[in-house]
Amino acid sequence: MNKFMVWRALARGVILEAIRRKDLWVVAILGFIIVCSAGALGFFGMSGLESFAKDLATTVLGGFSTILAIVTTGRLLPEETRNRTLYPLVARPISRFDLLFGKLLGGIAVSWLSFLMLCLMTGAALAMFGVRFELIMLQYVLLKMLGLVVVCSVTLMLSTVMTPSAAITMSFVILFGSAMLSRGLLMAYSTASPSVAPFFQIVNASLPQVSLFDIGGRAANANWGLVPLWVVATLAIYMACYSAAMLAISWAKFRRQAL
Amino acid sequence: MLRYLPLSVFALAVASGFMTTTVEREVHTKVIDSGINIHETHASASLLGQFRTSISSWLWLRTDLYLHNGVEMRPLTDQEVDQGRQAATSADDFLREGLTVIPGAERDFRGVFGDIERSTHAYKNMEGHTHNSPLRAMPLYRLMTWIEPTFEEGWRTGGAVLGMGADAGRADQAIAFLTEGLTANPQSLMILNQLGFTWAVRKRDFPRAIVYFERARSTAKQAKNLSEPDKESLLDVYRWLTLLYRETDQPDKQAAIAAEGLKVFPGDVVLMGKAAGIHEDHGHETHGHQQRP
Amino acid sequence: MTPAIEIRDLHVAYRRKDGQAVEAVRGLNLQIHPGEVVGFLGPNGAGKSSTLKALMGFVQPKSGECLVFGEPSWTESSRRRIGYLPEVAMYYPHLTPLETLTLYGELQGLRGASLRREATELLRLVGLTASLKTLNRQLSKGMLQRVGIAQSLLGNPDLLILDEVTSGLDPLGRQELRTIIQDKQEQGTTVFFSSHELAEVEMLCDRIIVIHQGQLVEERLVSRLKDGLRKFTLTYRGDLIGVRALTDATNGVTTASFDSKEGLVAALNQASNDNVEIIDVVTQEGSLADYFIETIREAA
Repeated sequence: MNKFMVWRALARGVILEAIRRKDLWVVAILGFIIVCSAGALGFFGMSGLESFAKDLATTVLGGFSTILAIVTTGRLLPEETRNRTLYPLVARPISRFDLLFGKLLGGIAVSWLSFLMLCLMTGAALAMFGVRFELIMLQYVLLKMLGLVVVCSVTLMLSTVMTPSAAITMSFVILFGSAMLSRGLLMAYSTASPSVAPFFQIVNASLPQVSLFDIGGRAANANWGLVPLWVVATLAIYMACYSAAMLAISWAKFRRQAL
Repeated sequence: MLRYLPLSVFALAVASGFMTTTVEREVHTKVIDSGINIHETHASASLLGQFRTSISSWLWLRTDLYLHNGVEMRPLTDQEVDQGRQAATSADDFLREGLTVIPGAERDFRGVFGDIERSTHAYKNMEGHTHNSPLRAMPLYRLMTWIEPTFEEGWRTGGAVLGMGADAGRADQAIAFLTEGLTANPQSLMILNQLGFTWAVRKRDFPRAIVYFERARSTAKQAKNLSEPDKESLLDVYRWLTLLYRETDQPDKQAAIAAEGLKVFPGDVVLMGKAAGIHEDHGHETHGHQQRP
Repeated sequence: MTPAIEIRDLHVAYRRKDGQAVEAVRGLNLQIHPGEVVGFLGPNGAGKSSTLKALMGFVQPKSGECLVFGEPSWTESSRRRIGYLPEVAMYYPHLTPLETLTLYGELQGLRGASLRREATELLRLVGLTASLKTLNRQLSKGMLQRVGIAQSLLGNPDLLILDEVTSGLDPLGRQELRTIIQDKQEQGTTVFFSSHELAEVEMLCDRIIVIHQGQLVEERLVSRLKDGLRKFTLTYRGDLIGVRALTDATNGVTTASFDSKEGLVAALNQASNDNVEIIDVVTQEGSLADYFIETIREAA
């Protein structure tokens, strides 16, 4: 059987449920808040404030899209189990890996959809104030979408090893705190002996480096131009590897899990 | 007749609504001059106050970041101090010392992750540092003072930024901005000082400037404790007053103010110079806000 | 012939929340042959659902194996031949029955217009034509059970495993279900189902399997069971010498009870020879419920 069709069917189910459940209304409300905030900002004059407007927009976009991705993906599997919608699914001729992967794809698709909707609304708000479009904004969107894949895969992994609320909380801590922790490690490393460098490297490498996917600041502050192609390629490879690792952990836990 | 009843009821409700505005003045006597007082009375207001303070503080920090084109600096660690590294005081120092939140490749254990961050967040690196025009941040000063009207530093810096340069129109805007700040903070030495400075230097209207400096002086006299920024402002006030009284040919007042200033700030060489009638220009930029007399 | 279902020495254990291990199924062996309709009975907690879950691969057995048409039941090729109705199943609340069936059909490997046609047909079969595009959350419990039955029939499976199939169905629904299962049996589909509705079991099944405390306690053909449960009573006036039956005589009228048809026939022949007046002959069909209760009591 064509695995791609199976994954597509599962992902489509997630998207359809999210749309019907009016999850995307949350996005619309958040978008409305962004536009209103931008309106309030415009009241104080936008001349010379393009950097701030772009910075604010990317900060808000980054925060909201990550929250939506965590909340959407974090409840995918636990809700299936709690609502007992899982049984008819796993009774089908599909492997548990297919189920996980299909669900992950659905979570990613919903996160991307929400993010793109927010981008459109934020873009409209920025355009209202005459902020002109730059190519780096497109690169920001692309890299952020790659980053959301990491967010979704980490959250899905956590949801297979702990309760849904714990998984969502842990995801918030890990994904929002990883940049801070990374920064802390850098500071600590500057005072540590070089012999412990491998320890720092392992701790750092095990953290999801989602902040690296956020070039909002670079897009906001003028005269920085596009991120080099090798960076985009490396990040894409990192996203694929890290997400695959998260999926593998999820599968190892889920494949033998009693339902 | 009955079909007009809803309309009549609505009209009655609106009319009684108008009445309440008249009564309200009597019921709630106005005690709130600025946002600060409400903090002490209601928990919700206090919470709102904290929120406003946090937002305006965040804006203040962001503004600083924009003025430096996004470069995020960091202080020296204890170990770096032990190694004898000097604390940076200028952008050039920061560049030389590499004191940004993202270390250089030679000090970064993260390998390719570090390389990527130096690329994606290149703006945080000192190499891209420039000083942006403070005028670009003016709407932010306006926003932060609108959110938190008791944020004196915001009013003072905003006023200073607006008043920069020789454009008389901008000086008027600065005075209007600072006057608005003074309405919200009538006891603010910082704002009074800045207003006096703007009248003196940008508008060359010494008598008007003296009015504000004198008001600052009398406010300081009534205050029990002065904060460090207030003390700095007061020192400026004494210095400016001695200078302005000299410029307006009021030597007696000049001497009296200098003497009074020296009591409060003993050993201040500028005041001693003014007291001796020697004009010394010690002007230097203090964070680009105000030129000291 | 390869059995449709073969369970060999199945042990299923759970760990309770307090950490204690509980063995829900203990060395279960059973075989279901292609084309059979088998009822799987047992009191609450007997291990029926655990057995079905192990059979479907939802839980990992401690030991033993479950085969479907000779292949391990958890393989994808086995599952393709199974239609499964869970004990308590909910279906995505924000999808319609048609979308639900389309989703499951796609997972089953069905595609396009033929899938849509089949889904629509199955929903018509279970009486949901009017609710094709109603959201599942707006359906009643019985209607959701019908959605469940329809989804289990997707892809025309060779084996139907139905857990508590009649749950939530009204009498009309049960009647429709009986028709569906009978049709499926005629088409050669094997049906293995658990139910507490013994009357349904009796009407539908070729065979019953009873388990108690995780072990097989009874396995019988329903036709034989019915014969065994049937009782005959003969009421007559006079004496019948040599009649081996429980008798109860009042005012010269005797009522004799027979466990087998042969005993009754012998008594009737005797009565004819002895010119004994026969007042009444009654055939009493035995109750599966009584039999079930008795079997469980004996096992306990």
